[in-house]
Amino acid sequence: MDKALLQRKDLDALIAAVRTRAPVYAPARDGRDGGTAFRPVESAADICLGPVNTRLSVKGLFFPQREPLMKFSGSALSEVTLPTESPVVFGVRPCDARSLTWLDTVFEGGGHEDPYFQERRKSAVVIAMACDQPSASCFCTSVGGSPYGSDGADVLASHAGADGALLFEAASEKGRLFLEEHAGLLAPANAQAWAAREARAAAAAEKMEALDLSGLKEKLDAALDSPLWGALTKTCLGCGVCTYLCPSCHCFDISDEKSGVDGVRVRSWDSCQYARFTLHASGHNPRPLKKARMRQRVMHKFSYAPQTAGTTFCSGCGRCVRACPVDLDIRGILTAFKDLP
Amino acid sequence: MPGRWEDNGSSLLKEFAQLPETERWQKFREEISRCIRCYACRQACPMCYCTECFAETNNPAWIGVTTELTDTMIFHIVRIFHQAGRCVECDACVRACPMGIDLRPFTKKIAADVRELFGFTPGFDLETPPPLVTFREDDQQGFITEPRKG
Repeated sequence: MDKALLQRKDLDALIAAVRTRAPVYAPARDGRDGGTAFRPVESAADICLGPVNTRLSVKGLFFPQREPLMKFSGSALSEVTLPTESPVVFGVRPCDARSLTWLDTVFEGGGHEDPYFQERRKSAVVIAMACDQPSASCFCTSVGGSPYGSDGADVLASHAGADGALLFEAASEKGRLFLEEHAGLLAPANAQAWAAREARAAAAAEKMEALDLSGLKEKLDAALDSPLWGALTKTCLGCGVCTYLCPSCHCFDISDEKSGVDGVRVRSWDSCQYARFTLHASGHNPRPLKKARMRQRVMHKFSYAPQTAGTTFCSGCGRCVRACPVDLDIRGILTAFKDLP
Repeated sequence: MPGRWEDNGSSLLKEFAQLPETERWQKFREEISRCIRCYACRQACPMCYCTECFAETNNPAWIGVTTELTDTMIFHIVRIFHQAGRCVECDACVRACPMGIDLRPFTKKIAADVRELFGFTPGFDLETPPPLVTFREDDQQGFITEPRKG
């Protein structure tokens, strides 16, 4: 089964059917200020597909901010149990789903396979939810994405109309099997519904201003020593918001949490925006200033990744734009370099 | 949330301060459990000016670097206590937080305690040193307990 329609009233039944064997994660209320986060949900009433994307991206479900790698007691080592819950993750926006393909490259590629990430990724079914309400801070269409894109997802869901029915499209073999498994709750959708879906996809993309970033990599590569880096990052506070909220940032630290001779070795997110990120034991710091650190962040996504992975590592989700305490807008940085003569 | 900034957090402080100790602790744990330790609160704070933050030193490492709740709570407890007598309640830490964590019940509790115990409000007088950086023989010291005497 590749394409199907789910009536709104059957969403609870679908969630219940999945929950007989696995948890369902979806955006749900988080805190008291209207923000959302991926949480285990029990029914459609728990799900909050608000006008703004979740505060933290979906990456934490696959690459948790704090993750035990192994345990030790004196010199005796033991393995930690790898995750086995095989969740269904519903309501992932296409920008976040697309970022998962880059985490796949990082954690599965180059002969350095990461079992912690891979176990979670392999066992999960990612149901992306097409985005009809891009925010003013969103720019997925400027970086090769689309509000109805299905890269990185197993199924793409979209609204089929005002009655809350959902159209499902398989985007992978795993997604096709998921639709087969739940075929009892699904029905074929008519041609009219699919035509309306095309119109909505086009309308969603229209809502965003597309930046022309062609030739950006070459401009960046030629501007490593540009005074623009200092000028554009003067207001940066050097916190880790942009990197921690980013769905594709994946740098981590490894540390030991000990009590006596027992302990656990943990991996935790780290940020290139911290001065200590590159501080050497000798005291030397190759990126001593914030302009060098922001340059690293921008270059990694828009120059080094295109070179090594053939794609930018920015999905245009807009979180770094929305959450930056000083309103530093990466689109402004990119445009400034793109516009260099 | 509508009205989040309406009364400058004074109702949050009132609500928090009247809770029994165990519930205050619970509320603190809940709020801090969503912290991602991005340090935006610290970076935005005008009074956090240490050149090396205790939360990031690794020799010695006072606390772990992850979001393990104990470590995250210690970071916030030490940062907020360190501001006693210096926090001017600008609330930049709250506005900077990408997780919508509202530290005001805690920052304002400390500020209120300093007002009550020392009659001091920071930010109005360049000459008077903040009470927690000075020492006088007649300082209140009832809070000091000798462990062996209980």
